Amino acid sequence: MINTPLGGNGMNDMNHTAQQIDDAALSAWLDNALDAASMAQISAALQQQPELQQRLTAMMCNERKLQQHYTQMAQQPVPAALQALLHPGSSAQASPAAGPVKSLAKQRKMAWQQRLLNWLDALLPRPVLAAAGLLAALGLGMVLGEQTLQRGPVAGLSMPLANVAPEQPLHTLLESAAAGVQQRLDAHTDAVVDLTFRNKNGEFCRQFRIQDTQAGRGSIAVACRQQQGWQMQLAQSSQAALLPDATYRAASGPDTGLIDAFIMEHSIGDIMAGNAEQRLLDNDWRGAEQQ
Amino acid sequence: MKLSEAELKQALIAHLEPLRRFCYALTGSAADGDDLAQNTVERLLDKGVPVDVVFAAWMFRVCKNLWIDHIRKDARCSTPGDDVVFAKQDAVDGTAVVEQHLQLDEIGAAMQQLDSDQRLVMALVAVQGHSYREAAEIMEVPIGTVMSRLARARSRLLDLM
Repeated sequence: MINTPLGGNGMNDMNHTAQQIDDAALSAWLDNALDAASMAQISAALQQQPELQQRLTAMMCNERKLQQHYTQMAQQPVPAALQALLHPGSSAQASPAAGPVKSLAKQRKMAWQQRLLNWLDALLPRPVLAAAGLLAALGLGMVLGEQTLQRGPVAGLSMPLANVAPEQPLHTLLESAAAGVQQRLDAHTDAVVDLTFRNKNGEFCRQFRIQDTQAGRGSIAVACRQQQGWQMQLAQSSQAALLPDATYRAASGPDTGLIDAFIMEHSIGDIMAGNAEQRLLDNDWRGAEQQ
Repeated sequence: MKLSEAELKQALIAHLEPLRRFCYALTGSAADGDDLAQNTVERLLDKGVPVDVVFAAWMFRVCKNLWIDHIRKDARCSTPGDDVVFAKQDAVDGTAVVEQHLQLDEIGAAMQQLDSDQRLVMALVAVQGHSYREAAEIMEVPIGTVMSRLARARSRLLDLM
């Protein structure tokens, strides 16, 4: 953790509503490299400043693309000349370093997925929720999640899908709410769209969080906009949604990992944010063909 | 005291994918990246690696120095633009796969437009996942420099994409 004088270049005003947070502060926040007070200040500002959220989203999209790009390249076969240097006579297979070799103290779980989770956990208002039909879908998702985690690859998933009925408040949220804007679905239920992305079929999908404050349950889910309407794709229970406040915390473990893996697997690489997302909403989700 | 040849090769094999990923991020192409990776492996095998150092940090530092030497001595530029043009030609088909490749090529091309210092810090922190402290050790600069270069690199990428 690094103590950085954010009151200088990073944030010009300690009032959250008026904070001007620059890219240096966002960058450090993204890496969890600030002291706790600064992290909390930026998290609070992010919740109140959609422009800041959009800039952070774009920053994360870039990193995600970088990760994908170079990881794909590095998965190509090892050139023969390089292989011969290391393992003459056989293929160079990675194996754990052993013996006297000193390893880095801990390999960060950084990957773009982890950053995405960090961002979501830090950024989102306390989502909450529950419409009867949706809870059924969420229950399905939670069971599915356990099975999937045991089975491994998300790519092989086949799952029964649940429609989101047009009369449900959730449908309205998915259809028209900008990411990051929390909405109340009923007396005990809040929800927020986390992000919008396009899947490999060209359909627009949205990750959202939903929480039933009375029942104390929260879930994070993905629905995609198909010809017949919004269809649930996947859902997972999320402890993160139950936190009492919106202060930053690092996501970890299986909390939302399944959802994140699903998006990584199914997204064609572009998360719609800011103006791009708003144009979609304004045009009733038309314009996919033009992008 | 240095690692034995067998120990060194075992460590290199274990770190080969991160090394290649790092090299690709620095050079912007598979061919140049694998050349850099091979040069790094050759240098490490030739000079050896002390037992009491963190292997990955040592390896990346050697790689970084070779890359800097190369870009100083040889003005030959990698050609990320070729990949973009190729991908754009393919994109006529309009498939999602091609579109994804196009986007990834674009980020690769943008990465190559960063200053070498910015590209290096992005390769270490954003691509490889090193902490600021580890990146500072590999880059041989203070942590504050890592932070400022990283912020500028991210800002620049936002402008480019």
